[in-house]
Amino acid sequence: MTVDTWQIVAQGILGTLQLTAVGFALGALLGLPLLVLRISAAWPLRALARTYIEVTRGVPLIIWLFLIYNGPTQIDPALGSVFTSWRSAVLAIALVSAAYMAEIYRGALRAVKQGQFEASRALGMSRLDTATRVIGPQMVRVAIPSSASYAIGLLKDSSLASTIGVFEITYYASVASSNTASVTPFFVAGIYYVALTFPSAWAARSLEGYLMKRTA
Amino acid sequence: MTTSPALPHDAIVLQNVEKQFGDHVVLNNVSMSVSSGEVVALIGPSGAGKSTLLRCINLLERPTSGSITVEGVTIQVDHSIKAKELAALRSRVGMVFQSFNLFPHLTVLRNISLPQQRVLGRSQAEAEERAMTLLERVGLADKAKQYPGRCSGGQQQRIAIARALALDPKVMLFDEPTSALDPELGLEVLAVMRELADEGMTMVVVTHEMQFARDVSDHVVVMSDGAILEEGKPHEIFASPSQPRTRAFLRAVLDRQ
Ligand SMILES: Nc1ncnc2c1ncn2[C@@H]1O[C@H](COP(=O)(O)OP(=O)(O)O)[C@@H](O)[C@H]1O
Ligand SMILES: [Mg+2]
Repeated sequence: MTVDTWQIVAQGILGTLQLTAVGFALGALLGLPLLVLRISAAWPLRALARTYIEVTRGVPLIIWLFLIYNGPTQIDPALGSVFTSWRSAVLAIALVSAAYMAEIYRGALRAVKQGQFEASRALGMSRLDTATRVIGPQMVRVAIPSSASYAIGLLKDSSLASTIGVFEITYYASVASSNTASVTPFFVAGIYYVALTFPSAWAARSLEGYLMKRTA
Repeated sequence: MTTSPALPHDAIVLQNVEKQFGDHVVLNNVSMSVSSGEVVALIGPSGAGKSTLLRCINLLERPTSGSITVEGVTIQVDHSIKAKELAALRSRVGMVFQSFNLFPHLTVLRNISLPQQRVLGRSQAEAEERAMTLLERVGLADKAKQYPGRCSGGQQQRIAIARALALDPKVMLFDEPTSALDPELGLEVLAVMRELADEGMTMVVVTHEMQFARDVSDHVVVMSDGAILEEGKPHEIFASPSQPRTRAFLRAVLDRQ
């Protein structure tokens, strides 16, 4: 195992981090309006959100990657410059993450005691204030552990983006492996993934612990 | 005009209030009024509709029909309710729950100052000053920087009372404020409520504390099966209830205590 292999595969670390971070951040953001639809009083909106969530989660990420990357160019080849590898991968991860995050948010919302909504209403707080200052902060605390484990899972799933040519860890490992006819680059890639996962999990646990200590 | 206290007036008027959950009639044509400065004890067996009635007063529960007036703001529930009227009504009413419902992610001080800033538009300094005054009054100034989870149940309930009072309500509603507390912790809450009553606050208190109802209230309303069974002065209700069901209820409650 040469220093070279480590360096070649390391070229993908930034790509993996960027893809995961941007895709997850967009998904976490899009998950909010999706949650609002999912719990709306109007059943057609609820049904729409539910369908989106079930369909998006039901189809494997790799299928979404192929569909989003190749689909548009089949309609109009010029769209290839819009749906680049990177953009397609971010979009696929964002759309799928939105569905998962909306469900995580919904679970967090249900964990907030009914009395919190009532107290806020009884005090005369507006709906927006109730959402942003009373319920939201309590949801964040509940949602952190499951969001963090989802994001860490995503860090590994982002490796699927190598199949549409995104320059991330697995992509460089594949290239190095076929050039050298050796499995070593994948071993190196595995170590990099673990090295990225460990601090993320630790950071999530610390954040959770910090928030718990403040409210306990 | 003189500076003498205002003449008593109707602080709360409920007219023909009905509430159904599906087919289940929970309040059946209830009418009652509470004068300003009056303390009303609302008693009756569990499931009688006491909480529902109390929650109708500030429209946490929307009645199926009837009208509600609090300090001059009338809401006719058959008509669509304007957000402004609802806000006006809620601003006149403070509510204290059995389970305290303090915001666990905010310090005690912030629990009391945040609603003042958001609802009344007070500045942070103003809101915190008022919060400290009220915390001192309920004997908990030293808890200002703590989170509610660090306080005993009795302390949390006193904080909840301070939070409601900070919005300068004209009327205070209490839904079994001591039921979740050990008796000795309940006493410190009852002491705060007694003080509030002495200062002339208009109060409606759902309670199983018969001692409190007898000693502090001006008027007792007995509910059963979604209707008012009877009402009167405490000594009348406790000494010589006219309804057999009131008698049975009082006997059951007093046996338990
Ligand atoms: N949100 C609700 N949905 C359906 N039924 C309810 C609801 N709230 C209260 N009830 C019913 O209304 C009746 C009166 O309840 P409540 O007002 O809580 O009585 P109390 O406070 O006197 O014990 C009970 O039979 C209860 O089951
Ligand atoms: Mg009740």
